[in-house]
Amino acid sequence: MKDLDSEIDRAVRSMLDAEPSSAFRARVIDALEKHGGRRPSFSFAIAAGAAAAVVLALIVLLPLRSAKPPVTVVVDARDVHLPAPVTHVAPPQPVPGVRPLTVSTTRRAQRKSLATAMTHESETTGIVALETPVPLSVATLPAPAASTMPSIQPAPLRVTALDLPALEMPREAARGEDR
Amino acid sequence: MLPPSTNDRVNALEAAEPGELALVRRAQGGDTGAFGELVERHRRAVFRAALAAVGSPIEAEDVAQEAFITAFQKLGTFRGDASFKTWLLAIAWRKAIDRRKSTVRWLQRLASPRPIEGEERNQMEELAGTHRTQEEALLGGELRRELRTLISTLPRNLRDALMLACSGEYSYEEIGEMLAIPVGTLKWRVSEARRILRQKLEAKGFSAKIKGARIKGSEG
Repeated sequence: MKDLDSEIDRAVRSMLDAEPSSAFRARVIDALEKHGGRRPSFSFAIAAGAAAAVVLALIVLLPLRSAKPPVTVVVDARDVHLPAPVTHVAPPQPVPGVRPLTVSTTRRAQRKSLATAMTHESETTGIVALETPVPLSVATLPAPAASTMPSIQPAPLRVTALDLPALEMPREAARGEDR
Repeated sequence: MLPPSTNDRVNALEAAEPGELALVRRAQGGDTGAFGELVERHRRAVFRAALAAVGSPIEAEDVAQEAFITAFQKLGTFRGDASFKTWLLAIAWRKAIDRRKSTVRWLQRLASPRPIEGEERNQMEELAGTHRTQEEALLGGELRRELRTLISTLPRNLRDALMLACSGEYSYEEIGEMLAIPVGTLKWRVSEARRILRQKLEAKGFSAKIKGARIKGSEG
């Protein structure tokens, strides 16, 4: 066993029997000096602090720079061709069999006042007011008709008893019983 | 029992490696010359640890270089709890394992498989040996080749432990730090690796061959 152990040791040492090149030390120092191997941690802390300060400054300054002054848009009313504003909208006619939409009177009143305000606006600023939109009327759906599809409920199970004929005893067994 | 104080640790470090602490302190101050001296002192140990992991001297040298550069960058974190050599070897081992695991290396090996290095040189050394019979020398060469193959087939954790322990370069404490395992576990892995190798060698008849060659040598 000792022989084999010694051979194992010798085999391992032969596998690791190599040396780094003679220029190894010079290469390491050269790499450190070229790429500026970072010095002890305090310089790293200073660099990290400087980076944090730059980031903070960007966070503070960017919103201030992005805030732009309000831009005034001047539109010449002569260049804009729009139809005359609709000041009066007739209420929709009720359709027989259709439930009309219930719209609160306050909303209608608001729209009316908005149209009025827009007209007033056009008189003072020269901008032609937009046409008041026609209120929507949505027809209600008719009640669903009775379904003509067959029911998907399964039919009840009908279990019927089996009608089996009586077994016939074999002749030998019958003779043995008779005895 | 009180834990060792910083002064005790520093004194222990200084006693183990005289002058090393001063070099480390100067290197921590940015003195690349002092660090160069540390490189010179430990380059062989670092290189061989890398070689045990990666198996190729060229790659081992790259890994060793990376390890020293990383050690220089992290010098500020070295507190003297362990010796500088142990601290450095732990860094080198981690770099070697990263290299071993890297996909690029795997692809390179796939593209161009390398033969077992140093094999021819060892064969010549065996044949030229004067204190052994030719038969024993040839047998030794054959045995060593077989052992290399068998060692490479060991599970990695056993192989790493065996290679580092049998190299003669490192103490068990140093190896334990490198592999981040207790010394007890390390000793178990080494003995387990030896047991597996002995078993496989005996199955191939090497134990009997060695005994036979030794008997003939003593007779002749």
